[in-house]
Amino acid sequence: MTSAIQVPRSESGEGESFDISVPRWRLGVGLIGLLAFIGYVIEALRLEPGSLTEPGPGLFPIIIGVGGIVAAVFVVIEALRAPMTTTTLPKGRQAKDVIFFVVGLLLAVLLLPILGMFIVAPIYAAVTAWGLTTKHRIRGAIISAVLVLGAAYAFTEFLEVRLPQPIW
Amino acid sequence: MSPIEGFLYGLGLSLSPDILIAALVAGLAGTLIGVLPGLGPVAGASLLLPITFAYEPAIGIILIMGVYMGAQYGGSTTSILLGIPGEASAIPATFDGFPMAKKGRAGPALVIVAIGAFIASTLSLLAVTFSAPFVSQFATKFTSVEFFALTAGGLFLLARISGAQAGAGIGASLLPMFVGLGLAMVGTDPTQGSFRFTFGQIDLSLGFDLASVAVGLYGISELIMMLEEKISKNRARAVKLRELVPSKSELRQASFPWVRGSVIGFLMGLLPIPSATMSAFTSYRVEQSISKTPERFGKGAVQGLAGPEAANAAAAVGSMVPVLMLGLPFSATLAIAIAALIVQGIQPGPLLVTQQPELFWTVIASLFIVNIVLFILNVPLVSIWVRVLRTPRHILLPIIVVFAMIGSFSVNNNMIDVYVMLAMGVVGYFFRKLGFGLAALLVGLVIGPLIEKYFLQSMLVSHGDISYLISTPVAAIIWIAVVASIVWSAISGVRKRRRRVKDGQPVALTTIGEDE
Repeated sequence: MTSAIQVPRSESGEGESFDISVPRWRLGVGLIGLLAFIGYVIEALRLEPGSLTEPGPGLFPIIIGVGGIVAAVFVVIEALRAPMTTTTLPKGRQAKDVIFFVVGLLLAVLLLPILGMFIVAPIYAAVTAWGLTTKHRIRGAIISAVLVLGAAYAFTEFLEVRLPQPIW
Repeated sequence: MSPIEGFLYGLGLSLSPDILIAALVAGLAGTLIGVLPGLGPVAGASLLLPITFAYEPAIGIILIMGVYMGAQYGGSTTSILLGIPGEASAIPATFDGFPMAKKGRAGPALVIVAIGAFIASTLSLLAVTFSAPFVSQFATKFTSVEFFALTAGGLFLLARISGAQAGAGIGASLLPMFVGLGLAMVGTDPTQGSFRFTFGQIDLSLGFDLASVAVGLYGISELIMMLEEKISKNRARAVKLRELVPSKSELRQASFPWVRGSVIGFLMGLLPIPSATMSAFTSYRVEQSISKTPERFGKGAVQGLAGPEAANAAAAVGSMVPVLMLGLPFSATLAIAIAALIVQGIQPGPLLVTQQPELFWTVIASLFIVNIVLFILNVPLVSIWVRVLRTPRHILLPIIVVFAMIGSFSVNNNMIDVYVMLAMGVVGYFFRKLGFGLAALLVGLVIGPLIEKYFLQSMLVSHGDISYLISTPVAAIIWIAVVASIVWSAISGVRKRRRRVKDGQPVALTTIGEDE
């Protein structure tokens, strides 16, 4: 559920969290963006730029790349000049949940082309449901697994959607 | 064909079983998406996008718009029952809707929202119906110069207005926009058919798919954000059918705000801004400023709920004018609606009304049907939405993820789209945390190829003369607005910084309209 007004967790009292410096992290994003767009322009220069009268496939990407470099430089300058503000990252139980979720999702995505959706989806759903709660774990795991299997079946049967198949 | 004839023609075509079922499914799915945590209209619409490819274009756009309209309503349900806005546009509904619920008036509040949304959407649809031929006639005179200004200038304004946290600066709003535009260039070049930025990977020749990027940016990142919060102990109270009827006094108080909200919403829907969210806030301010009892606002004032809810519903419909008549999406959800049409070989724009009237009027009439479906179904189904709100997070979350994986894979039957979804989820999480805007990234991805097309056409026509890009009044006005927005933000930024230094206050953490 997204709220457009982000209230610092420390004020709202929701969840455990620790503060990180927004300007410092933005500086990092700005520098990564700068490097990425420099690489983008170098790659764009390999395409034929043509001229303004006869534009080639590289012309517009070069403009975009230069615009991206300017925007990234702005992010860096603004981060260096910005007053100290903080945002929060989770810790404790919330951090464990986030890491569990992201690692689980990563493993599911990696296993998907090997085992296929009909094996990965229920296992992923059961393990995630089991790991994200401390109460009625088995019941939650079974319900989740059954629901995603039903959903996957509905997608293939009624909507004729193709799903990743196992390698065998 | 006159507007009335066109509408009746569209209504005749819409009353087919396929379109009625699509309207029903879209309305219900949209409300469910609005109610569910972790899924906004953008992620919801992008999940539906691959499914739309299997059907005719009218059904595709009805599914997307039905989700958009339904999600506005569903978002308000959680605002009223839990004080937690389902979508950004539903934030004003928490100000007075939740206090009404605490006073035992949750049922009437939900009905006031439903009636208001119905009235506002209907008025807005009438305005779209009657203005369509004129806007389209006017827009047929547009050349690549005007379209370049509308796409590039509109995207720039969108990035500035909805881009980043207040006080974050121009870089934080423009960087995501350029990332979106940069990603849009990946794939096959439109002029010579050569590959750009594919690095020898044939999987990248079709470019980055919108659905995967949208689901990752909005859906996966939102789920991670959700896990950071402690499970709320607030449980939505069941609302019985007999508790739904508003009193005569409540209906009287709501009537004028509904109309005012409809006008505000429709007009703001035409602009390159996150219109549903901004019109809801504007309407709240208007109602508060003209009220004889402004002190009641925030304590359960009916006007404070009725006006904004009508405004966001009207804006959702009003924003169809730039989509259908100019081919310009000014929000992430509308970008997905455009993608649903483009994939089917239909380019929305001023010629749509004349060249494909059956599609245009079917879509308009079908939106009317979606509107009726939402009105008829949502109020009686409120107890079901309350039950959905009670679904445990650990069960809901894996289901949403599996839906996201299926949706991403099914676009091209390619695992690379699932990897993109995952990567975009991580990018979206950090962008949200650090106050970078997401809407401009997504809209940039969709209209990037259009901007390039209009730029190249302008250069070919003018033999490389850059000044040609501001050679018409419409283009000049748009670029003046862009420059004014830069100057204004620079001045207000300096003022805010001075005030902060003077008062020693921190920067406000606000992001406008990220959900649209």
